[in-house]
Amino acid sequence: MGQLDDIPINTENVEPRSPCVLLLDTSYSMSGEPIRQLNEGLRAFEEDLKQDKLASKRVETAVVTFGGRVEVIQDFVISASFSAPSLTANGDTPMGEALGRALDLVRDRRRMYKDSNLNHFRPWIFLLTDGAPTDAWESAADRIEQAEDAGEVLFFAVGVEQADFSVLRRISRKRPPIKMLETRFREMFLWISDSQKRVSSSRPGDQVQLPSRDAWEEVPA
Amino acid sequence: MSSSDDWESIACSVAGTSHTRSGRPAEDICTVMEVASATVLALADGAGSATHAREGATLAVAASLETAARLLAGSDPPSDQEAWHRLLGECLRSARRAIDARDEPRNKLACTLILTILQGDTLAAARIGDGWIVAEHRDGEVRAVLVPEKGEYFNETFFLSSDRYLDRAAFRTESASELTGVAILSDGLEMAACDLQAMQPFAPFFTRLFEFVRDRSSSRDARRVEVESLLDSDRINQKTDDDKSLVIAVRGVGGSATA
Repeated sequence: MGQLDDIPINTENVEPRSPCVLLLDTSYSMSGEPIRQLNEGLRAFEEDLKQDKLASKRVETAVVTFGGRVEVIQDFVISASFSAPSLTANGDTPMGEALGRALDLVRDRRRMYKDSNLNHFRPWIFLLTDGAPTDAWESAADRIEQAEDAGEVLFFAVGVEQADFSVLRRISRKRPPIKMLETRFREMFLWISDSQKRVSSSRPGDQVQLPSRDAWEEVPA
Repeated sequence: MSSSDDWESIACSVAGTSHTRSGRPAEDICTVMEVASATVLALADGAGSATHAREGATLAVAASLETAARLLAGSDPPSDQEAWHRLLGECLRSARRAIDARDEPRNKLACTLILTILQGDTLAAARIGDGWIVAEHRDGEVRAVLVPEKGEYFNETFFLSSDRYLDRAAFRTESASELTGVAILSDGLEMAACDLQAMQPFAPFFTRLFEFVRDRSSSRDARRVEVESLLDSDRINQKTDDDKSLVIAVRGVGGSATA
């Protein structure tokens, strides 16, 4: 037995947080198979994070949906306590308003971290849509670009099936939108959780290598 | 076994569990040097993705100590804070020249660097990046001499290889006459040994640590092995999978050493 076995160590340190907003299209066109697969993907995401020692304590997920109206289904909650919601699809696609809402959530969270002196990683916003916005979206897209330029957020956009990529490219200006292969929702959500595991365990100087998207990205022929 | 001006020191470093998993060697380098009645503690933590991190850290420590030795042995000790900061600045520049001199781009040799010099009644310290310098007073108080610098996000800091590295360096000179313990540590240990919200050392950890190292009923080597065993313990590894390095200097509360 070591002579320093009894040395007091600090058990009170709060884990650094990795905030991730899932911004999900629940408009009418998602009903049936797409929303069913999306829900299954969310459950896989939940499980994957819960099984990871560090990520379960560090990754905080918020879920915002846009289908008819914009709803914050889940404000940021630590992975260990995250319960995958069961989403339903209805209504049109207020994506512009949803983008603004997601940015507001991130801004408020950053302020809370700062006020409480909590360490954190760069926040992510992950947009998933199968269509195009039915509301005004240009100024929200400007906000996204400014936030990215200021290093305040990392924004990803994924389009499934009949998503409008010309609009998506104007919303996701810093990195090209990703086209989902078929309906590989589960694989996509597991990519997000795997990426968050890597980000949340990264240390100064680490260049976080995100996993391959081969399993769920459709690459042009 | 000699000690300068009553200080007795040990340097301990243990690879993190993430390294043992991936087979990568530890990227923390730390050591103690005694020269001209001064004790110099040095630690460099190789940056996570720098492919030659260990090499960078090794070069940084070697070059800075070589310069420290030359400057400390060559003349009278620095007379004031400014002179100490100039001396430390020379050591940092020397470390940077050492990594610049390699063929590899310097970001591949990126590391943090901590130097602490104990000479006479002075403690003089410099830090680039993260890691902590902690001191214990004769009256038992434990406090930070320098706290880490992080970037905006938890996985960011500055490195010896960063542009304007000297602008980002922190220097501190203070009286050492009331000090009975000094420790420098890499960030791998901070979850267990520090309070990250208050940005203070976790005093009970350091009090016990200094007390243990001060107890000369076992050899210095034996004490070092015990501290390394602590660094590699489950209790510490539950808090981190990073490399952990710790250099500790202590002296008796009475102020004088016996052999």
